[in-house]
Amino acid sequence: MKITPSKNHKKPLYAIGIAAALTAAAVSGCTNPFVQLAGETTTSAAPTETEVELDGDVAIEQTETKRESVVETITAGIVTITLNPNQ
Amino acid sequence: MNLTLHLTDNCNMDCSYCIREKCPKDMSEEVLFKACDLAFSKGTRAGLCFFGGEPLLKKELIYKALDYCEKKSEKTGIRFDCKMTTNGTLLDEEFLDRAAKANLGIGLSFDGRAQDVCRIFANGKPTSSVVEEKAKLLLKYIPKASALATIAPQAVPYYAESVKYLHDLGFKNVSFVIAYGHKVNWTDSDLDALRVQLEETASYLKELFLKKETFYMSAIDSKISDCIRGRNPAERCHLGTRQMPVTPDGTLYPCTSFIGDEKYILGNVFDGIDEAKVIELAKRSATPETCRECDLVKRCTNSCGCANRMNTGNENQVSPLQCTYERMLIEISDNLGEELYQIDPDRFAKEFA
Repeated sequence: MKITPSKNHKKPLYAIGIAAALTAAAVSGCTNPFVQLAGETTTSAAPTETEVELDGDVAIEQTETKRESVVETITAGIVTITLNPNQ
Repeated sequence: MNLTLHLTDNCNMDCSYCIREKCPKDMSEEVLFKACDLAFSKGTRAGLCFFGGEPLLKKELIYKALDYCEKKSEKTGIRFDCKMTTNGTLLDEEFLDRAAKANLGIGLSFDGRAQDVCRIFANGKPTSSVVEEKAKLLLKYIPKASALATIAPQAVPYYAESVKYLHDLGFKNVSFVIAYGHKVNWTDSDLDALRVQLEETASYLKELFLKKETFYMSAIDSKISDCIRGRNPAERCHLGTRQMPVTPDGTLYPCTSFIGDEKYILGNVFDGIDEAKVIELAKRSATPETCRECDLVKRCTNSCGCANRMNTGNENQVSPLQCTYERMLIEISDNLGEELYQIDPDRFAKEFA
């Protein structure tokens, strides 16, 4: 095992796809507050009840804040990107 | 503000990877209430995480803290939230009833099928059957409880099986981290075996996704959702600012792994926080030199001062172990993310965005 800085790592297509969906929703004039906040760290801030971290574990960060309305917005403008099998 | 209360340094278990030294040092009521006051003194929310040693050895202190903070919250209008990390062996219905009423989030330290490999009672006896029963009881009262598994090298062969087992027990949220620190010795072959286990886990998560089952497995799922949201997991490390540990005698430190090192004392519950020291520590915190040119610098936990300190002795220096593990985890998570996105983008968005 060694420290190996990663080079030429591309952003995964799934992340690009969801971002494109968010953009599409924003361009379409959707007024859902989530779209207005997209890209801001506050959109993914955990609700108060999960802000106290469980000690011994730093990974629990999942948020359920208004997930349903967020998802509705995203899925409304979903853009599917097909993987190139040669990649 | 948020505080982690080390109610006792004692524990009824003797886990092979635990870096905490057991001793019969308990928090006094005086320290407890001062710590509660401190949590309410800064910010618009007060949060406590009950920790140890094993916090349920001091159940009466938890009851007192909950009563005190609930009253204080009512009086001040400041929101109060609480959590606890426990080995679960001392859970009972009376406690769980109170915990459910207080909306206490509980993380059960439970290594699944590897439980008896590393997590044994102080008398050497296995804990798996006891903890399995307690896990069922916990989920009955607090269905949103999490299972927290720590994987040491000798537990790697049980990794994927443990994820399935914890899911089958009824946990909807599990956290798997690898054991760090001087008590464990990872080799290249351990990491090769871990890769196989992570890939098997990813296949299982895909299976659950196809069945439309909601199950959050933090190690992999957080890499996917953080990437979508553009969140930097390294930013989760806020030494001394986000959540300070309080030792049984009331001393404040930046994070659990720093406890006992006098250079890092950030104050105490009686005299308050030494703000100058907090600022000085924050100024010293930096992205590790070796990570600055890495494309994954914003996707891994290279800046976790706690993990870095455990592995290298320096909060700003990442270890080869962490680098190798994080690269592996990101690769496997991204492969899974691409697959799930292609299968059902709508459902993928529901699960991860």
